[in-house]
Amino acid sequence: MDVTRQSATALLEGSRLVSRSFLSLGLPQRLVLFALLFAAEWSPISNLVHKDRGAGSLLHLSIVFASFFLALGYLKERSLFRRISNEIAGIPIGWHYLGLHLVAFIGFIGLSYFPQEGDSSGIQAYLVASTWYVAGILAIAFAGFAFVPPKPALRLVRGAGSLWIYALAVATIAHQLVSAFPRWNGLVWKTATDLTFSLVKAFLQLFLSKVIADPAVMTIGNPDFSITILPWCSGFEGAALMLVFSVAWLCFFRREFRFPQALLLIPLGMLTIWLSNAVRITVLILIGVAGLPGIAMGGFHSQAGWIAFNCVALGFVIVAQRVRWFSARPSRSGLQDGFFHNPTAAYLTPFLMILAAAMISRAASEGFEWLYPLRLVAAGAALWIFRSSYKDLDWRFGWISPLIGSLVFVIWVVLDKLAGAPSAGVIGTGLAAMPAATKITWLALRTAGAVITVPIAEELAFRGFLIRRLISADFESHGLRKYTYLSVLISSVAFGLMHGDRWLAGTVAGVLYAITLLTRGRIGDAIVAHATTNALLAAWVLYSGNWNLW
Amino acid sequence: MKKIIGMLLLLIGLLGLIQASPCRPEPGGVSTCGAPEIDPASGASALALLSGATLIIRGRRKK
Repeated sequence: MDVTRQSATALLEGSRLVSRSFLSLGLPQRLVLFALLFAAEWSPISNLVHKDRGAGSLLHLSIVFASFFLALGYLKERSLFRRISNEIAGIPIGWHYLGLHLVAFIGFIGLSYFPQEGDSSGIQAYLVASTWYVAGILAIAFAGFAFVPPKPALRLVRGAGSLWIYALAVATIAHQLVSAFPRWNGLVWKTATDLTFSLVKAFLQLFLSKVIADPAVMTIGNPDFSITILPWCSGFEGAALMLVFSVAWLCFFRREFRFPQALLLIPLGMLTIWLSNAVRITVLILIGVAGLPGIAMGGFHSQAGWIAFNCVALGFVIVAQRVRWFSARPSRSGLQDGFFHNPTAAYLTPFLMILAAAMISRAASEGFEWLYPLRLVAAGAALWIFRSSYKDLDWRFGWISPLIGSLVFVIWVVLDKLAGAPSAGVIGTGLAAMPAATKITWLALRTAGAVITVPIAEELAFRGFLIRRLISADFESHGLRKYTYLSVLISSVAFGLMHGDRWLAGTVAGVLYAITLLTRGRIGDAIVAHATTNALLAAWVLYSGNWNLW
Repeated sequence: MKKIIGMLLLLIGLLGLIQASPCRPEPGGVSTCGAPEIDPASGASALALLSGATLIIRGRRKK
């Protein structure tokens, strides 16, 4: 009896905790609201603000300072931040402060219309500028106090000790570096471009007997094909992506690495991606010289950088995880492979194989993806390899699935019409140049991919995996009917974003396929709905010649 | 998962700064053209591939 009562009490407290955490406004939520209010008010008036009064610089400095202060404060004084966050969660938003904020804000806008310093006398200009500053600062302060009341705000600043000095110092240095950027970035870019140019020239000389290289205009190639290495082709973009990726990875999973040696992985990753860019440019020129300039400047040009970045980033993750000198994870050498399993791989690999095959086939095309069947083969191989992992899934389907699939088809076509997308596409041009037998084979394989492997792979990834994985890391412990509104929304938006310009139709389709799956918890229902949509789209494309829908 | 989503958002933010350069064909048979390293148009697929692969790498569990 007591146990039951205790359980009931715990359940009640748990439900109160859940409802409080969902509805209450802690420090992070209040800061987000403050930032949103600030952004909503600042965007329309930013052009009014007098640049010569230095407000822009002061504002940037304040934002950088606040960001550093909060980040450092949270890292160093987490318990204090949590305590204050819990404390203010029960306090309502200060509407009277918001009223005062509105008054100060209107005053600030009004003073912004006054003539600038050069147009009026000294004392008047000084008074207007001073009042303008005070109004602006008051507007920000009142808005801040509306979300974080003065007393807790003061305790936060006091409790953080001398952190504000460090934050101010870092913000000032960062601000000065950014201000000075235009002065030194030209020098850095020039050096990097020169180095890339020299490296590409050295690589090309290994393959070509006659290399034309003009460092004055950064043009390199041979008499048949050449390109210009512009500053943004010099490896900076990949290096920047690699820097962000490696720093974020080491920071997020810092407990798994040995420091300081793991920090070496950052420059190693950046150097590797920079070298890979030189290789990319070399291969691009060689493809052009080989008589395929369309592929060189078309598909290869747009895909090779991403292929290289993915390879280097995944290499970074594997090296960081497996090499003992970098990794602080316990050794698993004594354990057999059968001791582990990877349920994520079974759900995601078919979809990822389609993505990887798509990148390769696009890289080898001028626009028309003649290698599309590679996607079918890649996904088919992955599904075959993991076939034993799918035996517990329910592959049955009901009559509602084709109906929902048909509904998605209608929505897809209608939204496409409303968007005014052109019906002509590269597929039509590509097919017109093909012999009849090749054309029929390509169309058959394209349709098979759209109707068989794509629905299975995408439903396993987005509905079978992502909806449950967003709820829990141990996603397999939940049945396929387990969901939250947020997990369905995120997985559907992610699915929509994978469809480029048709993100809205994709998101709606994702929600409808999710409903199909969740109704009975059968993956077969979602796959059949998806396959129906794709089959109808294929029929529509073949009938109408609207290749752009593929 | 949250960490990988966070990393993904950082990369998307950076990608927003990256712009493809225009191609500049020139007469005379020589095709002189800028070749930007990262094409933002292919970003969604590439970042989905990276996120999925990292999830698989970190998805190994004890039986």
